[in-house]
Amino acid sequence: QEQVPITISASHPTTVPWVGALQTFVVEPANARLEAMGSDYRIEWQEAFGGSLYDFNETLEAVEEGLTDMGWVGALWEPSKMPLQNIMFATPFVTSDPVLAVEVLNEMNDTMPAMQEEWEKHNLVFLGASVNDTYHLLTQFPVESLDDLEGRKIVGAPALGPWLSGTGAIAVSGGLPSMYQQMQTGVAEGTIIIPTGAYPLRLHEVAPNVTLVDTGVTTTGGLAVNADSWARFPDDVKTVLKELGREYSLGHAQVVKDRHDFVLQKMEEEGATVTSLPDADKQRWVDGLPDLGKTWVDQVESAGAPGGEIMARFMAEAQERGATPLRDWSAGL
Amino acid sequence: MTDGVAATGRLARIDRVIGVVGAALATISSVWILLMMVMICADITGRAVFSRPLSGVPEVVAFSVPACVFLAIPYAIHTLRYLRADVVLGAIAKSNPLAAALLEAIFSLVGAAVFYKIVENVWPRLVDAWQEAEFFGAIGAFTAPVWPFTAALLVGASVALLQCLSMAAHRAAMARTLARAGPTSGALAMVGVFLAVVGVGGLYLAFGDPTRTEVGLVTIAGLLVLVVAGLHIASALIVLSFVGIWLTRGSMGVADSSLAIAATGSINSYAFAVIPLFVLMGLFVDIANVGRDAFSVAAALLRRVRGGLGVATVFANAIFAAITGSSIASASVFTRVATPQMEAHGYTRRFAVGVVAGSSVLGMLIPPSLLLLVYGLIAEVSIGDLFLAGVIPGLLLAVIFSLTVVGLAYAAPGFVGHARSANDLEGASLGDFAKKMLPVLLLIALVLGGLYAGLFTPTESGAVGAAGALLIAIARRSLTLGRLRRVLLEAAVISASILILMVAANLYSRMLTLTGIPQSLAGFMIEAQLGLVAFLALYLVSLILLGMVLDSVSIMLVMLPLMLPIVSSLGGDLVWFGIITVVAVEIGLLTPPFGIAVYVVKGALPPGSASLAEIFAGSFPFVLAMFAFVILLMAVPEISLWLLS
Ligand code: NA
Ligand code: NA
Repeated sequence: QEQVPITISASHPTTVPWVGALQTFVVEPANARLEAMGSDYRIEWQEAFGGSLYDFNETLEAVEEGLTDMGWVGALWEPSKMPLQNIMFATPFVTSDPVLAVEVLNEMNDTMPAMQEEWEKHNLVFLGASVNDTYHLLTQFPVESLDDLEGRKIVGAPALGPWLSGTGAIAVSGGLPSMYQQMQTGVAEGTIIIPTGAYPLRLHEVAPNVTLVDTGVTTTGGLAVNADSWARFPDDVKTVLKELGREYSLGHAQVVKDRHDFVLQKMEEEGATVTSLPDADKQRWVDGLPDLGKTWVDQVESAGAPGGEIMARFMAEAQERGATPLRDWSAGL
Repeated sequence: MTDGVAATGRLARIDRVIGVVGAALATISSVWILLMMVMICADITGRAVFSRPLSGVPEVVAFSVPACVFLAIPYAIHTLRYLRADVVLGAIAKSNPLAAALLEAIFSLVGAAVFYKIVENVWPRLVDAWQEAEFFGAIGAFTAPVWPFTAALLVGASVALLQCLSMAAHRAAMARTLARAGPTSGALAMVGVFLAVVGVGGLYLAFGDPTRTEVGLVTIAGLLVLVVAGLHIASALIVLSFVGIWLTRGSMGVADSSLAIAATGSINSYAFAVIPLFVLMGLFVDIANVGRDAFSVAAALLRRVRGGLGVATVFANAIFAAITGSSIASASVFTRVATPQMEAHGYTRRFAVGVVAGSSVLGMLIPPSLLLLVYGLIAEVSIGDLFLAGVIPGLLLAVIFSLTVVGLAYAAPGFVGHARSANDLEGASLGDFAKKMLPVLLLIALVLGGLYAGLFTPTESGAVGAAGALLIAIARRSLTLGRLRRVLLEAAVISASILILMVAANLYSRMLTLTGIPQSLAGFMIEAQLGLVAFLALYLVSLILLGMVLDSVSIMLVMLPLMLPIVSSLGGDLVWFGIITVVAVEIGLLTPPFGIAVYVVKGALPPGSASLAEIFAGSFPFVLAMFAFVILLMAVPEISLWLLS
């Protein structure tokens, strides 16, 4: 038997679904899988989760430059270096199904050269996409219609700011760690956020009105291997990692989906009021948004990527798998 | 001989030029810090008054931090404020100046190597950022190019490299002069021993085929040796991290990119911007004489109590603590304000400076607090909760310190001095009281009121406090243009000397993770099945030992990632643990050889007054008081958690 040392890491702790799944879907089954296929190689894992090797704003560089052999790459924090992986931040209200979303992104990354190039350019081998649950509103005031957002200060990740334009809300930018504080002090009156992120931070305590808006899930990047490390891995290891990468992608998407439902239920049990935004208001919201799809396509094309083709393909792939978008973001092209 | 003089003259000229360039860069950094203050205040005003936040401020501020730090570093090096423990080196300099000069030359060369590596590895990133038109922000909301920030960082690091080289040359020339003037064998032996110790470590690492754990242990021992020998702390941390990462990951390229990531990324965050802003606020408060006034009011009120001036110092520190987040600001302000008064009233110099150094720790316990902020960031605990939890322990520690002062004034008059009551001080009339206390109360009302009225967050409060203090200084006409320039420059240099340590400590703690030592230590502690009490005892001892050689933030960065999971698993409350950690870590501010509060007091005293040893001795009673206090906090969690329930 020969040991292959591999460092796997992430900027977040294993309590987060897309990191915990690295353990359950990649690290734990790997050696059994190698054994089952009759390989003489075994992986000697070194796990460095929880940001012990690098912070959230360095996930791309850390894998790109070999600080770790493989790890979760948060494309959502790299709008400049990985614009194509961030397509779902420009296409809200397309799908609320995390599994469907990673299937679409995996398919596109497998078959579209421009998407592959985005990983290769950064010395990365893509194994599988990662995803967030769908976004809802947590507010300090009840939201019965879109009009209730008029003039309210809503905090969210900077990338979500555009989603609020046209709603009358004032977008305040803030990261997860600061949101509780911002709402407790009144700097913000609500947040647009994923429930799996909101619950551990107890945001429902300071913003107990949970309004299900379903702006849709967003893929966030994915699991990738440093290309130099990849080159030194034996073929058996590569085969197993490719398999497990895909299982990780689909598996954690299911975890995210289940966790989303569970967490909403917990919030309600702990005193939050959970209501749904009426369909007509959702439609009004999405119709009132600027043409985010076109903005994205223009930006991407100015950097030389076939933005229009990717956007059209994205909308088609999503619908083919059963998504029912509230707006066709490729319509304005 | 004349050659030597001419060469020395040339070197001095070159060093002057580099100093001027460094000062210019530090000026840019200082204006940039002022601009950050203005931007944050504009964002707050826009949001609160016009419902129109200034988009992109948090992102721009985050990217500004590393740029500001590296721009001010050359000047910090030039003015000898690139931090280090110089106790041993100072002693060597007295007995054997040649050995000291040689060691200084070596240390400067190490610094040059560190900045060379930073320049070498950040340069490709600048090229990338430029060629790929890299930006930050979000498409459709706000975007700004990355390259100007990277360029500023590179310029600063390059000049820092030149500055280190120039210093090395200067020290080498000095050594040559000394060597001609006197015996050399003792010096060579001393330097030889140092090089031999380092060499043995290096050879072992290179050829001993060490395991990951052994690499980690050697780098920890190396840190102790190098820091105690007087190598600058950031240099020591970076060199050892670089070697450690290289050996554990088996590739120098990985060490190179880790260094680049640490330089550009580790302090690139909105939260780290509070450090320059709090420092700036402390300096404005100093200029506006707010600290002096708070002290004079307290002194007048306590003039009939034995040890009253000492208690007044503690009291003024506690008030000042409510508006500053850093003990460094407190220590520098009250050294100038309180020590002359105490000495004039019969206190020994040792005790006078000791009280100032000791009570400055209140600055980082009573909120707002830099250390609690750092803890909150690492532990992912609500910073609001931590600040609230710090209130009662902070006030209680102030009471304990006051009792210590009064108790010593009675029990150990020899240590304290005659400590006459200050009857000669005028009593404060109500009007006087109001006039002197008004500015400080206004500032407190502005910062705390704004926080609780929801106008801004604790992260933003540094900017508001700095702006408020600036306005008070202007209103009191105590701010001239020259003073403003000096204060801004000072803020830039102090911030840079602190934040470069954060960069280095960040790299070091990541290297430790790679060696697996934290994990095995945590594993050991879990396997030993220590109860919470035994764990806390072990933890306290470790923090005190580390506090002797490391700065507070580095200790927290190194220790917390491994300790937090254990505390959680043992059922300890993380807010409570944060308060314990901060008090225990602050003991290190006062313990030799590296006690930053003591260094700051020393730096703020006129030359030729109290020695470092005297200040360490004077603050020792406060070390004991804090030690007892930590144990009390451990035993009674309610002290910390009562306000939260
Ligand atoms: Na404070
Ligand atoms: Na110390």
